[in-house]
Order: sequence, then C-alpha cells, then structure tokens
Amino acid sequence: MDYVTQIIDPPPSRTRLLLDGVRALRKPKLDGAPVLPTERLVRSAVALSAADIAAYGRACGFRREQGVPLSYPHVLAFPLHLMLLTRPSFPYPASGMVHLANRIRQHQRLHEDQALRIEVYCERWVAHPKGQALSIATRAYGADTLVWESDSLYLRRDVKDPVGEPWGDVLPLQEAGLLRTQRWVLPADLGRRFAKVSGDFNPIHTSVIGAKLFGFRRAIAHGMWTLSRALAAQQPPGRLDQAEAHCDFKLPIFLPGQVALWSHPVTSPRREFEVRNFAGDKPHMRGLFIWKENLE
Amino acid sequence: MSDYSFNPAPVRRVAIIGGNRIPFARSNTVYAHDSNQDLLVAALQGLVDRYNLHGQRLGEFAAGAVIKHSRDFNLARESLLSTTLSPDTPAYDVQQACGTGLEAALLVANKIALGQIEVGIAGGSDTTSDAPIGINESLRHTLLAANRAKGMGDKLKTLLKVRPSMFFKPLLPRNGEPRTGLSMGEHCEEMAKRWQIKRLAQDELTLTSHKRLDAAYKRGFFDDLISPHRGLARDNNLRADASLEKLAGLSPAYDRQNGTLTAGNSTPLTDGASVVLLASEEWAVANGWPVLAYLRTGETAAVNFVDGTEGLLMAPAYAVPRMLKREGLSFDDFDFFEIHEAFAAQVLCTLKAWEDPDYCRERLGLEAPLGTIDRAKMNVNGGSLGCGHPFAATGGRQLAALAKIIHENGGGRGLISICAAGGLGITAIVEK
Repeated sequence: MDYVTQIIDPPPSRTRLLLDGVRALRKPKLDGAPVLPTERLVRSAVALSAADIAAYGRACGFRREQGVPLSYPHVLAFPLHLMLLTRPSFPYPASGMVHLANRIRQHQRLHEDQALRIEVYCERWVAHPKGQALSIATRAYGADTLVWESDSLYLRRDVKDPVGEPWGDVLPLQEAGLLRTQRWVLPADLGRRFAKVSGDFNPIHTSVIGAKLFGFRRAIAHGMWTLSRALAAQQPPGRLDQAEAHCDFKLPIFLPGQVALWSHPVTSPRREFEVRNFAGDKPHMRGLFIWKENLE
Repeated sequence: MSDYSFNPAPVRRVAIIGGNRIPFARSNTVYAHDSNQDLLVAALQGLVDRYNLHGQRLGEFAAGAVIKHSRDFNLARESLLSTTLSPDTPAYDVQQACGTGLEAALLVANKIALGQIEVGIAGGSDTTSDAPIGINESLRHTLLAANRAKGMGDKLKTLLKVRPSMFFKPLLPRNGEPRTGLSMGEHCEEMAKRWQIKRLAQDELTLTSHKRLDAAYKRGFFDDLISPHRGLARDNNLRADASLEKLAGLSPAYDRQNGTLTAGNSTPLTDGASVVLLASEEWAVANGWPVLAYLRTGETAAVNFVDGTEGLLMAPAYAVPRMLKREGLSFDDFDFFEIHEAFAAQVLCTLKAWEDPDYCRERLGLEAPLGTIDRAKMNVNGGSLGCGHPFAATGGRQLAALAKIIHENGGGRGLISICAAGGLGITAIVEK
C-alpha cells in the first residue's frame, strides 16, 4: 500500500486534539466497505525527555533503575493516533473506537535524551467478532534503525460484515498455579494523573461526568496505564534491551478501586499474567511480557 | 608485614546474662499513649534495675523499631539517656523488620566475641498505637519546593499550589509489602494454600501457644524476665480460656471465601519492648552474674517473594539449614526450638518445608529432608500467637526466654527462627 507521508511538527496541542475529537464525534454513514486511510504521520525527531519519563514512571510505578519504560514511546505516538482517528479520511467516529489490544516490541535499549523518529499509520483492517477492528502501526526509529514498534488494535463495535483478516491472536494463560502476586490500590484521580503524563485526556478517564456521557458509571483507568503498571511490577531491576509486551484489554477498571496482578511464580523471562479484580473472578487485562534471550 | 590492622583477639564466647521486657499489649489498649521510646525506656530501665547497672558505662546499646517516626532517628540513644545507665554509653539504631531485635543481639554479640566490647544490651520496641502519620505527599513536595525557592515572591508563588484537600488526606502507615501491595496476612494465606495447611492444624498450634504461655506465667517463669508497665503485669493478648471451639468460630480474615487464617491464628498488632544483656564471660564473673546460655551464632537469609517464586515468610527455611551445615549440627542436636509465630500457618509451612524431600532437594539443596521438629520442644513457654508480636521486640523476648529455659534445663541447645517482611529470615543458635 502506498502511504502519503506527512511530517507533523510541532505535535497538535491538547486543545486542537480536543476540537478535532468533538468534530469527529459524528461521521457520515458508511456505504459499503471502509477504505483504509493512506496518511503516514511522522514526527521526525522526538527526544525521550528524562523529566517526562520520570513523571510517567512515577505514575505507573516504574523505578528509576528500570530505565525507559517499554510502553513509554506509545506516549510520543499518541497524538498521531488521535489525529489519524479524527481525520475526515477515517470512516468512523473517533470516540467510538475502543482500544482492544496492543503488541509492543523493543529491538534495542532506549536511552533518555535519545531522539526517535515516530511513524504512525493505519496498517490493516481486522475482522473481529464484535465489529470492525483496525490495526494502527507505530514505528520508532533511532538513527534509521527500527528500535521499537507497536501495533494497536482499535474496535468499532456493531459493524456488520467486517473486512480484513480475522483476529486470531489470543494470548495464552495457564490457569493452574496462577497466583495473586500484587495488589494495586487505584485512587479516584488516577485517570487525571495518567492523562498528565500520557497526553490522553479522554474524558472517560478523567472525570465521572465525562465517563457518564459515554456510558460508563464511573471514570475508568487508561488501558495503557494498566499495561504499564503490570510491566513495572514484573520487570526485573535494570534496563530492558530486547523485550515484548502483549496485552488484550478486557473489562474496564472503575476508579477508585483495587485490582490484583495474577501471575505464575517462575523466574523465566517470559511471563503470562492477568490483571483481575481483587477476588480474581473478573479479568481486566491479559498480558504476556517477554524480555531478552527468550525472544523468538 | 602488611599495613592491615584489623587484628581481633581470639574469638570469645558471648554470654546471655538475662533479659527484660514489658508485658506486650494489643494495639490501642493500655500502651495507647506510649511512644516507641517510652516503651523502650521502660524495658531498658527494668533491665538496669534488675542487674544493678545504674551509672555503668556499657560497651553499647543497639536497638530499633520497625514502625518509626522520623523523630525517632536516634531511638536507642535517646532511650538510653532516659535511663539510669551512664550517659557515656554509646548507642545506635538497627532495623531489619521483625528480625530487628535478634539482629541487634547478633551485632552486639559479634563485638563482644571479637573483644571490641565487654558488655552490651540489644533490644527493640514497637508501637502500632502511636503510629506515625505523615503529611500529604503533594503538600510535602510543595513545602519542599517552597523551601528551595529563592526569594519571597517565588516562595509565595509555590505556596499558592497548596490545596485545602491536602490537609485532609494524610499519609498513613501502610499495612503491606511495598513491592506487592499485599498485606502480610494475604501473603501468608497464599503460603498456606501452596503448602495445603489445614485450618484445624493452625488453630491447634494457636491453642498450644496460649496454653503454654499461661502455664509459664503460672509457674513464675516470667518473674525475672518481665517488668510490669502501666499496670499491666502479663501480656493482654493471652487467652487462658482459649479453646478449639472458640478458635473455630472465627471467620477467615484475609480471604473470606477460601481462607484459613483468622484473627485467632494470626498475631495481632501489638505494642511492647524487650532488651537482652550480653557480655563476655569475664564480665559475668567479675559482676557475679551466672551465665544463662551462650549466643553461639546467627544466620540470615532472604528470598525472592516479589514475583511469587517463594513465599514471603519462607526465608528461615533457607537460613536454618545453611547455619546447621556451617556449624555441623542437625535437628537431633537441639533441645529447644523458638520459632516465631507470626501466623500459625507460617510456622506450619516452614515445618512442612523442612520435612519435604523435594523442597529440601530443589530449593534448599539438601540430599535428605532437614527433618521433623518435635512439637514438645517447640515454643515450650508459648510464642507470639499467645503473647503478641511487637515487631522489633520479638527477638529479644525469644532470646532471653530461650537462654533461661536452657539454664533451667541445666544446659542444652536451642534454635531461634524469625521470619520478617521483605522476605527476610533471621536465625540463631543458643547453647550451654
């Protein structure tokens, strides 16, 4: 597919994104199959700011010695995701797109103050049982080398006859021997705190009223916060070189609240885990975290 | 000839002369208005009175508390200055979670063994009634930023960030492991499930602890180990009328559906303090005190509980076999076992681990299981389930009581084992 590359510099302001979001609340009804937008949005040199990373780390429970969080570059790409979803070329209203899953691969260790070239584009349609899903690709290059990449799956519910390959990538989880290894107490303002460090000010995360407008009884935690918290909890001391994080988002986490991390007591660098409610009978996120030598 | 100048004298035996503690009190009862320092002073002054140490300059006083206010930075020294010991006695603080008291004793003992000092006191105190409450973190950061700001204008600008809500959300002491967010009881509940420890076995161990503690009080065992405080003469957690029926009636505390740990078979939050007097044999002879027993050695261990590889309270299971191997001893060489009962389940998990061939081989690297501990030799005068567990005070309580049992017995050998937060385990051997 031929993409049209567009350099975005500076990234859109929070107000701009919000206005675009409001404008994209409605889209004309689609006739026939959706067409994949052809824009490739690029930020050519984004510095990994040490101060921003530290603030992000504090919000997610990373420790200094763990280095640049595996999930952090997503923050740099997020405004571009939002731009793609709110453009006229995107066939569905942005607000109805649900973040379903994310797959992150890091190929090299990231350093504070390193400059990354971030590219974001709609990669492919995915036929999901619940509607039309779309995979947005994020690629981060350092000195022309792909150092980090992420595929984010967004879903538009209730679309009949979705197009694309079926979604078959279900994460494994061995139930036997699964242990509740951590408890996280989530404050009411967690959404606002994470919004400040991630730039994702979606009202369903930052206010009760905002959440109610979109059909949630209370504000819900950012999916990317949940993933980051789980990675922070399981990453061994020290920085990551090559690593992968896969997650499927399930039931929303209402704020305030408490959830638990369920995982296997193994020391291998491959962790299957699930974030559940404290009792352990409701899943919020299933994940897989792999680092270093176990990469395929 | 090297310049190396650390030339200790030949290692000496370390005598346990005696100990003193105040009765332990459940949190928010009789010691509700006592600070860590108040409790430690009471225990230390009692020891000074009993062994007539008024005005004496000792080698050192090492003690600590687990739950500590920032004002308690020199807790041991400040406490010492409130007693009739010579103010020329140096002191320092120690903190190793629930192992604090025993670790402090090992530190003092090592200095005596190496000839650096002749006599010292080790101890610990803890209160969860007088717990420190910190100011709100946002408020603290704002105040610190204002303090750093240059000039009145910048200071005021920073202080404008103070919000009223900051005053109503203080930082409370957390009841949980910092790295997992799970309470110790929740961790122990997971251990109990992993080792399949039955509720009844936990309740039986609890009942034994209360009954033996009660019997020890009745026969006057604690008469020269405890000095009353605030009108309390014995541990107020002790239930002489405890029964299996009453214990069975309690509901699970940490896992309401499937749990086996209850408020009965877990130690409650407790306030208290204890101290132990350690000395060289020469000092004991010169001062006319009999030696109750000798503190032979200690061993600490730690386990990775963070990812669930090992149970939070399992470190003593590793420390003990290491220490026995180093000393060339086995369980058969012991007459007494003082196993700290944080939870009945944690004791039973540890005992089961030492009996399990697979666990002993795979985790502890032993060819054969470490062995079974004869319950008749374990916690013969009751344990933490009966008397309660003021974190840093437990080691001193156990050490003094074990030394006295060995003395009463006319000799013998005993093992102390304490599990602690952070996946720590502190153990020691006492003998005569």
